[in-house]
Amino acid sequence: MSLDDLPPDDVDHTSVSARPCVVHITLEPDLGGTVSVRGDMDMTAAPVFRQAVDRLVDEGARSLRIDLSGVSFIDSSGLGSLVYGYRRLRDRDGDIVVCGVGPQPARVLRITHLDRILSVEAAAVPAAPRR
Amino acid sequence: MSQRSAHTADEAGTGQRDFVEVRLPAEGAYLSVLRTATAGLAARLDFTLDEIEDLRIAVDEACAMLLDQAVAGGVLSCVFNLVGDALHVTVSAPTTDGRTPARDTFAWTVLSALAGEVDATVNEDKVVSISLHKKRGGGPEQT
Repeated sequence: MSLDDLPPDDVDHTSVSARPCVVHITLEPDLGGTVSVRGDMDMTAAPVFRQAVDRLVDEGARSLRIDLSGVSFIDSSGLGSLVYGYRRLRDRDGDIVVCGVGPQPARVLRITHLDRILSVEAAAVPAAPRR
Repeated sequence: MSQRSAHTADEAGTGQRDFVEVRLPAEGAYLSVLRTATAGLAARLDFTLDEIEDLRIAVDEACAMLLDQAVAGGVLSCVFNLVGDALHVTVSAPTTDGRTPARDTFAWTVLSALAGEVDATVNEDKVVSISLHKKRGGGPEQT
């Protein structure tokens, strides 16, 4: 089922922007939340991301899926905001999964060993073109 | 934003030494511009893709530390010296506090892991500078 198939009352879509980063949040009826990030997760984007996490958790989200498929750059501010989300969910016995992780974020997560703490799913590799 | 460059022979006369300075408003919104400039200059020195990413992050981290205490409306200066197979970067900004960044933070750990040699200084006018030196083929240190 795509998000567009859900009735308007059952799902909350909100986008907040801190150019060049856009954060889109979705809360499903089963209280599973998604935070989709597009842009660079740096010091300007981190507060917006934390607000998005706060909003979902305050609205009752029990699990969060952080979609970084639109993120090509992340720094320590962005990493800190991921850890913030991890702690907020952990405090409520919830869980958080970081998915769609591209090469640069994956490298930084690996170097800082945060990939050992956060549940991380790499971005899908596009299929090779047929010859 | 202003940008200027000068070229001189290095002291040993063995190769080119390029100097590039980028000056930007001391605001987070301009960090993406500086990251792009950093990547372009690192590519000129034939750094690997991973080394270019390391430098982008390192310069971003250094600037973010300065912006935490930068004077409102001030200018962030970033000087790149391209010497042989190394890139020496110094970022500076006038600050309100005039203190060098704490070295026990996560940001400093990331910076020092990726940048190679890192140092921070402050002058009597409360201009704080962070310099980093990245050599091609150096690789990141493991934290």
